[in-house]
Amino acid sequence: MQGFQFLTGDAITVKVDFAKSSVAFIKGQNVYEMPIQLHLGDIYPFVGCTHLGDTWAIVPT
Amino acid sequence: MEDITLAVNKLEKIFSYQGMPKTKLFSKLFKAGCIEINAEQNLAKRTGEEGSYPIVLLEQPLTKFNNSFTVVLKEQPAKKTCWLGVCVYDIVKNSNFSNCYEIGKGCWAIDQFGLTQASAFNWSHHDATHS
Repeated sequence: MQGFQFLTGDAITVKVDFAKSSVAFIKGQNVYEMPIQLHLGDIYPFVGCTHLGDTWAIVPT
Repeated sequence: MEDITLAVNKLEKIFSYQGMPKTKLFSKLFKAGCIEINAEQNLAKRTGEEGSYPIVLLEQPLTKFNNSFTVVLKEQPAKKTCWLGVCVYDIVKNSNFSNCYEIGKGCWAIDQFGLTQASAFNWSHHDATHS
């Protein structure tokens, strides 16, 4: 898989592995993992919207 | 003595986070000015002018005991250019909660695979030393 499509209603989970210093992006059966640096400070989740009107909604889990 | 103080501070921080409810709402404070928050509906919406790459953080940091979050896209953005990930608070605060190819240090994310992006992974190279 070369990318994620964020379609309306899709749930995307972001999970940090503090032992491995990595973050995984999970959508259904698709998983993409990348290394991160955990020694720089508190790690927060974030979302971004490039264009006017773009909207995110959170589903508490 | 300094090590003990640091350790105590870290423990206090961990316990204070764990005592918070796991609401995982968008933060009203940790965000770019052009993103508006609707706390009742858990919405974060881009309302400002075009340009830049604004972000909004969730209220709680990720920890060993609370290490994941889930989002759902409520509306399909017309230009399919939303992204999400994790970031270092101090770094993004210094950039006024903007994240882009020039000042994207300290962020790790994927973005939308859509009409205007060739790959969902073009943010993955962002780290603390290279943007």
